[in-house]
Amino acid sequence: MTKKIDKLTQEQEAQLIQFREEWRKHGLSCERIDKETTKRCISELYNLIGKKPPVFIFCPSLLFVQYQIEYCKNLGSNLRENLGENLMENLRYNLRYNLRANLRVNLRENLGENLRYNLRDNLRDNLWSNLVANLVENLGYNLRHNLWSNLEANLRYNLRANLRVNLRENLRYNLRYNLRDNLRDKIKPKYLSTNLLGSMDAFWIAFYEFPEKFLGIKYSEKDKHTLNLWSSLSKSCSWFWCYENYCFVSDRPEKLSFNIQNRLHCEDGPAVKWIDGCELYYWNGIAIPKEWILNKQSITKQTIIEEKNAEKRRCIREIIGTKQYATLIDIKEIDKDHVNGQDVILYKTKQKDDIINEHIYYVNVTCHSTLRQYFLCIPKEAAKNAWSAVAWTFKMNEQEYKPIIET
Amino acid sequence: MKQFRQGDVLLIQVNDIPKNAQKITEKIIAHGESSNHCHRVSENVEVMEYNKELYLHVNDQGALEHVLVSNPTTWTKEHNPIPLEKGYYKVIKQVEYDPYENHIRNVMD
Repeated sequence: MTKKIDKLTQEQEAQLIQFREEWRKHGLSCERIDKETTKRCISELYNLIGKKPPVFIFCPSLLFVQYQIEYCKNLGSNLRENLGENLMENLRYNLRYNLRANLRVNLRENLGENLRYNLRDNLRDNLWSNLVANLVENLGYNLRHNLWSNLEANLRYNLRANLRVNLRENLRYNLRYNLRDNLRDKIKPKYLSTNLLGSMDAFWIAFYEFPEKFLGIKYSEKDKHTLNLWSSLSKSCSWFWCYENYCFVSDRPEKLSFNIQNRLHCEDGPAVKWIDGCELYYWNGIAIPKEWILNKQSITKQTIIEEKNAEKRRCIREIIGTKQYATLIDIKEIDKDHVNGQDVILYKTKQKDDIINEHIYYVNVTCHSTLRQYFLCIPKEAAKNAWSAVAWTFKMNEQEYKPIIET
Repeated sequence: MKQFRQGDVLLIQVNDIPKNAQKITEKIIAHGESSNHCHRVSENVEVMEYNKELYLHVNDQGALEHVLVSNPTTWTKEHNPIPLEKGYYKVIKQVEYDPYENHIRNVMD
């Protein structure tokens, strides 16, 4: 029996860190799509599940893919009737692309009336269960056979979990939800999900590739070949959607910007931008309207009042600064308390509000863990002092509210 | 009774929970509306619901964690976990006032 490896050498430890960061670069790559490699790998994956190579439809962004698939599904019918009067204007505005011209180039030669038919058969689950689930089961078995569990856990933590948080939890989650919101808000097509993430699949590929490349672990030729395909694909494209005979592939973003905690963030432009002009704005991981970044003057008292989300109001305060925020909502400090190392400040508007003809009260609380500050509005009867105000936000009075642990 | 606060969620230790409280399978007791974050109790904690309020029954030892919705084993690195000793707890979500609607709503984050 092969002797199990129980720890990494100093050299392997160094290689692990270097390898992880190389894969992080692949996962977050903003290089243009490598169409030839993408075609080759996906065609081979189709081949492995007994399908003939698909016709490829390359799209400049994830959002564009959604429109493109929807358009193709509706070929032969009236697009305006299906998707609403504003579709074409929205497409032009959002994508700065001539969809019809693009489709003509892409589809004229290859796609006929059978396209709608083919798009019914989504191969996503087929590919995933046959070529990923099986693969990781085989490779995982191999690793367990050759590595002691503490070392496998170490690799899992250093490669898979580390990259996964960055790529899958922070980036994929945000992109997917933003896409859904965009589609819901602008036109009718339902968001089409995919679990085939190209570059963002780096987290699981790296985990299986490292032992093979640096620890001498041998995989079967078949598994190695399949892993290599996913690995090359991960270095060449972004998300893709597979159907019988057709495959829609998105290019990678041309810009990705993060804060120090690897959350999407950019203070002077979009945090994510694709080459078709599709762009997303984020402040420390929170999706925000682009006007808040590009035109800070557009933030008014009304913006703050109408924003129901406390986290987004916090973003506004951080974007324009506490002083300007306080000026906009026109408040003055009326009480201050210092509890467990944090300030709790009670504010009151200087003037009665024009609409309700009353003063409005706010309590400014600081999160003990993140040190983020939040302005929460409270009713007049809770504004006896700063502590009674914060107690009210937890449905208590100042005598009752006594947390012994705050995190 | 002891109180434990994790961000916009407060747990108050109580002597008992309402007799007709129904057990639910969900372990997430508060969602972040604009983030992939949530407040979640450990698997061994029973979550009960009564009259739109949540209660917890900790049989042995449990914890309140701040984790990713899409991967509940991953800590957000924001709020530290709070260990929970055996007992019953009431969940209170932080609220704020909307003076224009004269309405109290849960804080959304």
